[in-house]
Amino acid sequence: MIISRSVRWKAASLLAFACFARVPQADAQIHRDAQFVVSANTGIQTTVNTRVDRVNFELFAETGNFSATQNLGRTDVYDIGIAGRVWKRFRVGAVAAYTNQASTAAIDAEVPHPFFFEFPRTASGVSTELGHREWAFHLQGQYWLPLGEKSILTLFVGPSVFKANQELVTSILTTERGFPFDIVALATDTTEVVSITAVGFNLGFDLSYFGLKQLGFLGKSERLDHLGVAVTARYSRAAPGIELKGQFQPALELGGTQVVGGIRVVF
Amino acid sequence: MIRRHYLPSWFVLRLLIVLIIFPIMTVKPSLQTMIGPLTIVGTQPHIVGPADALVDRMIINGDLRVISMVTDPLVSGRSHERLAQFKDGLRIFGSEITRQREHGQITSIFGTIHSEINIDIVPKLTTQDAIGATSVSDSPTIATELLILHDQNIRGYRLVYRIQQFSAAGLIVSLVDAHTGGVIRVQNDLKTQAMSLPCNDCAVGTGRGVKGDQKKISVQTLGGNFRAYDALRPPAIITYDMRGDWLGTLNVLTGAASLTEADVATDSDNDWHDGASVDAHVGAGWFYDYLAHRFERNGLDGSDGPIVSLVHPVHRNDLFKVPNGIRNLFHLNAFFCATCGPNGLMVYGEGLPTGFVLQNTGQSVDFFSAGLDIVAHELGHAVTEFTSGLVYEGESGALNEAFSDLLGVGTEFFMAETGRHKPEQADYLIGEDVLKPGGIRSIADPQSQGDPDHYSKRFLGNIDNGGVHTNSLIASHAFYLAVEGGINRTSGIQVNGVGSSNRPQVEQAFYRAFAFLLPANATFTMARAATTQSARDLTGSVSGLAETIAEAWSAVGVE
Repeated sequence: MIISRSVRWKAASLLAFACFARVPQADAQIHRDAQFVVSANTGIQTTVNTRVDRVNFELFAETGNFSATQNLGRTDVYDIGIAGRVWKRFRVGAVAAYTNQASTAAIDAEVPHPFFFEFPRTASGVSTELGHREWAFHLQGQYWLPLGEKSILTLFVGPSVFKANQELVTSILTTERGFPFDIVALATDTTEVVSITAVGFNLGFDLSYFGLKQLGFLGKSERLDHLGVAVTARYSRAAPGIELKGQFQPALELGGTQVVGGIRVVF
Repeated sequence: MIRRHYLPSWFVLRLLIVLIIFPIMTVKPSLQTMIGPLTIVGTQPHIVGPADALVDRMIINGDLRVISMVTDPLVSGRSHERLAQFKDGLRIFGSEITRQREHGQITSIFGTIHSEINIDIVPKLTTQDAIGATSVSDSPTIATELLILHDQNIRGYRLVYRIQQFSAAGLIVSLVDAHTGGVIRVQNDLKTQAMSLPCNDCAVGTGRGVKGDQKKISVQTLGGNFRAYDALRPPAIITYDMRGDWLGTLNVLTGAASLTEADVATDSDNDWHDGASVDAHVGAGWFYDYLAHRFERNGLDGSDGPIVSLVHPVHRNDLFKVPNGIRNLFHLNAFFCATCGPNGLMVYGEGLPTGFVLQNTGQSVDFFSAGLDIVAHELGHAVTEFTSGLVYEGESGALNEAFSDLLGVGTEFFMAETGRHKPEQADYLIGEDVLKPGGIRSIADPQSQGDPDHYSKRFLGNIDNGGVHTNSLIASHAFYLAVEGGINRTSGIQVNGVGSSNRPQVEQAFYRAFAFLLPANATFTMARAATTQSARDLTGSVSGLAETIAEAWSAVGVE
């Protein structure tokens, strides 16, 4: 599903307004004294991963192979989180993030010849719409410090648990064009969704601004003191090993550098 | 150029009349005005023109008949026509003319034309009488033909029966005088060494050849077993395992019995261990590949006809239990029998038991299919059979053998140099993987095996059909010199070869010449002219290929 940026911001505003409606009136420093911070963000994951899977197969009494190269590029990120104050400026938090993308894999195969050993033919093609879904659950120890009257900078670090579904090319089917069998074509491929859970880490910072009331464009309600906007830069990573057809593949790179923006509700 | 054979010098004038003056005259000459055998080696316009006019007139008169017409796959716009000479409906044995056309224009003519054939063409003997006169009259007769023979011994013509019989001694061809019953000539005509996949039941297995080298084998599944039937290549390539039944093999060759499904070589797990079967079956496929890639030729007959091979025609250890003829035929030979079966049969000898060696050379003899050059050589005889049909005696027989050696060597190099079979050791020795050490012939150094490397040293006796094997080295050594260069040991002439990287060009030049340009009764001189003409056809006059080939022929004494 593709949601435009403007729609996302509107949705975030509505969510914030709903929260705001239930929050009791607070003073102007409420964001510094808040016990809890709820966040909702959307943004992009900037990391581009090139992934090359190599799979061997048996054909004509010989081992052939193919590589599937796919670029897992920039993608949208959605996350929600909550953090609670534990001591002075220290909080603990949890963030759930989600990414989803589809990529195309370029397939290059070395296909054994039916008549001769070590005389492979090459074939190439593409496999499209290979899905990659990633759920990340980030636990964070947070420390915040004020930046002027309206802003705070929060630093965080902690472990992450990733659950990913990665669709990979597992086999190919070639079409022979007959004698002399010097040319072979890639007819189709089959894919498999690999589900994997892995532990990694996350760290980054969050810059929040709580001066919306003073800006005035949302009105002058006291409730706006509970609402802020923020930008978060987060780097997370896990790299679990995976197998295809019993063959070890390069580690699956999960996470990456994410830049997201959203709202903060404090209470 | 025009050459005359066995003609007194005053005939020259009359030849000129026939070839030059008559075409100018408006009155067409009749055959009766012609004289003796006339050899035509026409590559230059002033020869080709009159010779072509003569050939056309003979076609109109019914004295020459087109027996084949093929489009040249290697040179665009060229075609080759082969004509046989007849008199009163009877073929004149070995008398052929070949014409090469380029977009309809004749560019070369080779061949021999006979005239003044004044014999009675009504035979006094019946076919049965003639068969009874042969030395193997009890053996099955495969074919008979009444034809006219130019007998060089009497400098004249005879009406003869040509009778092909298969016996333990081989494929015996007898020429019997149709008037007197006298046996004029007997010769052994065996050409010897002395995806999805496109078919549901295709399979590719592995096998080890006699030498232990691993190779892929294209087979067919049948009832849970695997049979040596290659259905991946365009022709059916089938290998039969005769399981040492020499009598049964002989019956198949003579037509007394047929090959059955039970005779096909099989394997239960598609990992083949009978080296002789593996090498014969795989080698046939590789030779097909070589023909296709190098010459764009579709198999032995040019039409993807089946390639059938027989292995284990006798038990190797029955060496002293079988008749001498069988020993020579099935232990110590490999041969292509052109008249056996619908498309001929290839038979691979069993070799000698371990510990036994040939008395005269001290060589051990392995399964004959172990030598890729031998496989290709023998199947090369089939190519000759389906193209020029070089008569297996004298100089044409030597050219026949040389052509097979060139195909054998070419196949080895093709497999090794293109990486199709990396273990293949390509060289200019013939049969070195079977007769060890040394093989049978060396086309790089013929004298090392006692063979002539120069026309002046050619064998002039009668044995081996006039020395077809030994004299073949004169031509094949010319091929070697054209490729690799070197100094001929007899003439001392040095040839700067085109280099091994250009070997395919020389192979193609010789192939076109031997398959399409040469007539059945070709001579070494014709072969020189035809191969240089072929080189010019292929590469033009600026490449130097034709000149190099001509130098090579000069080095071996053929002008």
